[in-house]
Amino acid sequence: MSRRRDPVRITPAYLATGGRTSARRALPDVLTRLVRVDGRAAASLSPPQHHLLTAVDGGDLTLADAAGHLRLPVSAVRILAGDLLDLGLIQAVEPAELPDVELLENVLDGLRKLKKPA
Amino acid sequence: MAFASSRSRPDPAAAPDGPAYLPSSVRNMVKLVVAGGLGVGKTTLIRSVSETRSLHTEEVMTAPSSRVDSLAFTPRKTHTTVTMDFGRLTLGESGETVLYLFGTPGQARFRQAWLDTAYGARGALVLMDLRRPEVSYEAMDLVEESGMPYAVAVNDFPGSPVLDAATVRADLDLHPETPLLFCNALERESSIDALIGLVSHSLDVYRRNTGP
Repeated sequence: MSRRRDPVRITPAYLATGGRTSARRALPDVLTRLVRVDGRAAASLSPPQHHLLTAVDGGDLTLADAAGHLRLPVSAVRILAGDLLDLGLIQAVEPAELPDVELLENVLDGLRKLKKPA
Repeated sequence: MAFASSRSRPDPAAAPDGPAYLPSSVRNMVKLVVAGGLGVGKTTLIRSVSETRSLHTEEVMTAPSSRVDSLAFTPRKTHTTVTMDFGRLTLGESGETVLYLFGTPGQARFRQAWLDTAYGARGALVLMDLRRPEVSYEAMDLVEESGMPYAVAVNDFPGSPVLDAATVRADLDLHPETPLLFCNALERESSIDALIGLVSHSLDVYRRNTGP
């Protein structure tokens, strides 16, 4: 089986972050939601920063989904997202609004409903 | 059956390289980890229940990073990669809750990458191939160390030894409260049953810890 060439990744991971390996911002959860802040123009971004911003322009993305799309390690996207946060171009939103127990009740209920024949 | 139901879900080929945007209805995202050794069926299970195509990312571990432990085993390599697969499943009619499943190899030398991925997870499903249970032991150790609720799911492979639950529990030295489940990761219904078993257990643990 031949491996398809990667159509998206434009920069090796270690170059995407300018050689940085740790983020200035704490975005510990890979399900952190990245949301574009409207009306803020982007100036002098690096190509990888621009690429991430362009992706978030289209809609909300989790860190993990952004990494999957950009074909970069989550650790690299975490750093890029921190840059865009610092510039006020995006916001980072917690993955869940509900407390744990309610959250898990919803999940259990939802999974059980999937089992019912349509 | 499994094929019929998978056809009714959104066609992942529709936008092969488009970002997997979150619908505006989504309010809550819940992460569960699917752990286990190589080839125990983690990606198979994730694919059987996910509505989006499963994505993967590669975490690169380089010498300048703090992941020195990963180098101890491969002293001549300056970097190594660990792959993480994940998929998602929208729950409920309102589409407010989305379940994410993350599969990671869970080898001890990738401990930091595992912990990074598992951060915030509400539970872990440890997949087990009874023909070679030892390949999942490291993953089980990591899950136990993390302290998150977990269940063990024996994945039914052709030629798996047929063992009763008590024997498996004893072999794996399972805590009496840890659920032992049996599944076929190729089948969506069976994988969902395993997830139901895990989430029921997680809910019990969280309820107990929260208290009345």
